[in-house]
Amino acid sequence: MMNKDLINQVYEIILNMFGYMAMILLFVEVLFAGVLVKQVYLLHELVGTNLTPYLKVFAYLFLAGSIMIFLYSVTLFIK
Amino acid sequence: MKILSAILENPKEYINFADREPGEVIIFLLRKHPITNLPWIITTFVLLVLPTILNYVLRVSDITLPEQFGLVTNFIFYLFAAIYSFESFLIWYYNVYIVTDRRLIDIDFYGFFYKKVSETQYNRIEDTTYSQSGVSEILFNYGNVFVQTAAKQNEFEFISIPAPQKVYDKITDLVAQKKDDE
Repeated sequence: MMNKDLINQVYEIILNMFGYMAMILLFVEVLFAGVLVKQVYLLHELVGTNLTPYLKVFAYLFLAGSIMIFLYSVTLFIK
Repeated sequence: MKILSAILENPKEYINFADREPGEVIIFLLRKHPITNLPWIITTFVLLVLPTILNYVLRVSDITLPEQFGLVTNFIFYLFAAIYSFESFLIWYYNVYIVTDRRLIDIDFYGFFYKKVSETQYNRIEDTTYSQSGVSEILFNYGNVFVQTAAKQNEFEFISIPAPQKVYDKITDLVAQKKDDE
């Protein structure tokens, strides 16, 4: 009985650690998505083409998607 | 899809670059041959398939993890794959070599935090060579053009560009024309 409690506690700790690690990774990915948006703007100044508006839209959609996934994951782990 | 082309000769569509002089005409806009994108496309494909394989292995080996574990791991994988592929595409798309009627411009962009722009005038060019080696370069007609300049500048390297002979011919013509003008 004692052992089972201990295993459950360790399991809970691992679960929490995984949750925090996942949060950090997803937050880093949101930051990278933000950098991508900025980068598309900077690169457009360097070499401007007709494709850049589409790349900007894609970068913003990607950023929005990353933020939504991050927030959704937060709600999964932090209750 | 011409805008995604690796070689644009006298481009008609809107193309601009930093420090373009008034009246400067773009003769070539070059990128690496599309076939050079194959490694990152394959890597992206593997990254996209990997979570499915892992999920299958876990299911077959009867390991049950809490639902949020699998979901969030998949999110992390797919987001990482998306960032990697988008960044790789940007590296290919914005790594350009521009041949204008006045100069050569080499715009290097590697990853999030590094970019380099170098240029040289035709009267500074001393030697131009091109090379094609290997099965894939011969098969898909791409290769390298090296432009040696005077002064202590580094050699200009147009790496893995399509139709290197055509670009080499044009550059040597422009250099000869510039020297005749002088």
